[in-house]
Amino acid sequence: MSFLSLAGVELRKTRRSGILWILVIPVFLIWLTAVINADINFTIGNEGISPENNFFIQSFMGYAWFMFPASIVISTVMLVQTERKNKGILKMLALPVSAARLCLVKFSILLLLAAVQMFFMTLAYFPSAAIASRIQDYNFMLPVMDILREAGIIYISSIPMAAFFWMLAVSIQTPIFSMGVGMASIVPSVLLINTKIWFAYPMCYPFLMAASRMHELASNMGTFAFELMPFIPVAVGCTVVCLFAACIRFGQAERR
Amino acid sequence: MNIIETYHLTKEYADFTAVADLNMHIRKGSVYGFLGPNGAGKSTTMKMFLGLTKPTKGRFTINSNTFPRDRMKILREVGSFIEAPAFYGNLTGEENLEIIRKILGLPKSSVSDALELVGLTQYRKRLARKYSLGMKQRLGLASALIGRPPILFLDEPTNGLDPVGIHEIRTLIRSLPKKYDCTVLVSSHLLPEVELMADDIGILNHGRLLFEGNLQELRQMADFEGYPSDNLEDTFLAMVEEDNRKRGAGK
Amino acid sequence: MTSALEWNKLKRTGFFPAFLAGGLLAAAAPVVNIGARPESFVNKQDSPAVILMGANWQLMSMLLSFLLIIGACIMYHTEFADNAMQRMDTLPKRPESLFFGKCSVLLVLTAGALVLGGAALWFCGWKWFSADRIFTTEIWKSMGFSFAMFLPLLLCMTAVSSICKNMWISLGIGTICLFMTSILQNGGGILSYLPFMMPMKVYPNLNGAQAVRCLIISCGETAGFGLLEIIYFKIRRNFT
Repeated sequence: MSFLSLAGVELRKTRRSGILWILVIPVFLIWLTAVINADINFTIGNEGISPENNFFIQSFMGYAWFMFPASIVISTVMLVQTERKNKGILKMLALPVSAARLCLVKFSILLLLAAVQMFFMTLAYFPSAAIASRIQDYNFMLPVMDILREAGIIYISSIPMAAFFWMLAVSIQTPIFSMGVGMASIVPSVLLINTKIWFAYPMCYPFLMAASRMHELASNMGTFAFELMPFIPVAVGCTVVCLFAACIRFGQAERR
Repeated sequence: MNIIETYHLTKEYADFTAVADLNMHIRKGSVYGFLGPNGAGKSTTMKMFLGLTKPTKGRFTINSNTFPRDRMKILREVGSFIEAPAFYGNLTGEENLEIIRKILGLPKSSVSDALELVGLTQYRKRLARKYSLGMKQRLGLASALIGRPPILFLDEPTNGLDPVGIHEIRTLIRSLPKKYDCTVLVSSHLLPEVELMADDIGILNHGRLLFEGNLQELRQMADFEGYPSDNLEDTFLAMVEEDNRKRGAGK
Repeated sequence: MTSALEWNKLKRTGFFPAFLAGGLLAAAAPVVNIGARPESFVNKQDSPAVILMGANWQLMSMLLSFLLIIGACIMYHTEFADNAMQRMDTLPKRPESLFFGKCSVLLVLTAGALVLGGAALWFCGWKWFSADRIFTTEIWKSMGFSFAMFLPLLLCMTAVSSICKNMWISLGIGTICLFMTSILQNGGGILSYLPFMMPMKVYPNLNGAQAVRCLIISCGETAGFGLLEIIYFKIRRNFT
């Protein structure tokens, strides 16, 4: 069975799981708060950032720091629980499909769900900026390409983090703990992006991308540039190791 | 000709032996009743056949395929129903079978065929989590029967069914070898049930095979060993009790 | 009695290791933060307590809040998962006592986690700021104050968990509210007194009147949630 048709089967399993709501509600809340508090963008003091840039990047920073990783954690647990709840996994393992392949297909579904949320987040920017512009009588709208570029960078940088969360969800049997460990690992990223070893902690990546852009946009905040070495090899290595570990652990409890 | 054979098959866990030195022989086209009290090792044996757990010692062949080399080949030829029914609660009965159909690459009609076989056609659009215990059991059976595989492993398939359901499923299992030319390994802890379905019987206790043969041979053995043979339920109980007594004495 | 039973029910649920691990993680935050770049903090003009709490409390309180949310969810999940709740309801025992029993367990563990956090902050003060007795008093006062600030969240989350049979809903509510807190935390006004915002308050940054106001509001919210829960049980008894 091809990877794509297996992915189709896996996608079918997410039906009626309510995951789309879980992905959409945070996006709605983020932009709602941004629109309601749009006037704050005019009172930004010494950072040297324009209100429209601030409106955009503050929301994306909040999103990249907590809600995007949290949504990925929730999606991983949902994907794993769908299999475990009524022992669906037992049936899958008794079918002629390799467990490792199934694990990778599920990871690709996770990336798809993350992409869907990023798409909603990006899409919702435009009506939000339009409404904020109308309320504040100031143009908050930025060029489409700027928004797409930032969303794309944050999304791509989140892949190693997603692989890490996927490994956690597959390895830890109790869902609330895999979720707890995942969520707890998000919080320190705010601290670790300021250290020299940020590249060793994949949960930092999306937030770092957003923070780096924030510093680019704010003329008085100095630079927050980062080197691609050893970031890229570490990120790739981390993704591979996490996926490898996940493939080994996938269905192991059921095959004991 | 035997379609399934095991050679000194053993499964040991840290603190106990689930299956000990098992030598089974299942004839092609027969219904093999795998009998034993709870915890005797029936499910573990079936799980080993499906590659869900690795044998500690020994080996087995299924249709001349060996594990682990031909695991995928084995799984393609086997329909299984292990322990409690396994399904996705957020999907309907039909959607659950559709997933298995796609993975096995079966024609579309096989879903309705399997639903028809187990009598779930009218409930096919209902969510599986809303099924009653018996309906879940039937869905599990349908997922084993889909595509009419040549070999079937059914682990206590009548659990949770009402008397009418038990009768229906028994009749279905009994008819399978003739209808679809398949071999069935069915486990149970109730001898009267196995008696009504099986051609051959294997009796397992604490992981050891106490008896293998047909009903006639079981009666002869009972006479020979001095177990009661008028009622096979009594024969079974006496055998298990005797084995337990010997084990107790051994310890 | 009820409280002791609640402790027993949590055996082998991973609840206690989770609290220990979460408490240690929150306590590790200031040590790692200050240890990694002491030069950014030691030369500041403020008092050590203000510097340390300012630099770390946001992260620590967020981790502890999350720990409380998970803890409350696990406690009621053990009741709902295998229908134990149904059995509890058929015993001659009031659901209110079950609720307050669970709250008392969470109270003790929150206090324990705060002691760990306080010890870590005290260690940082001793190691990098050569802190004195005034600092020690200030830190333990801060932890005592924070304990009171956690009370509304504790009752609120236990109440939410007792209402939602599906653990994912209560956990989702907790996570989203906590996230909104992280967005709104810089805004003042009435929003800063919401149960999810209260733990973020930094004691050394408040003057006497502000601290007293926070304590009064915290007590009011705690009593309010307790009362709402009792009313909820009364309604449930009469209408289900």
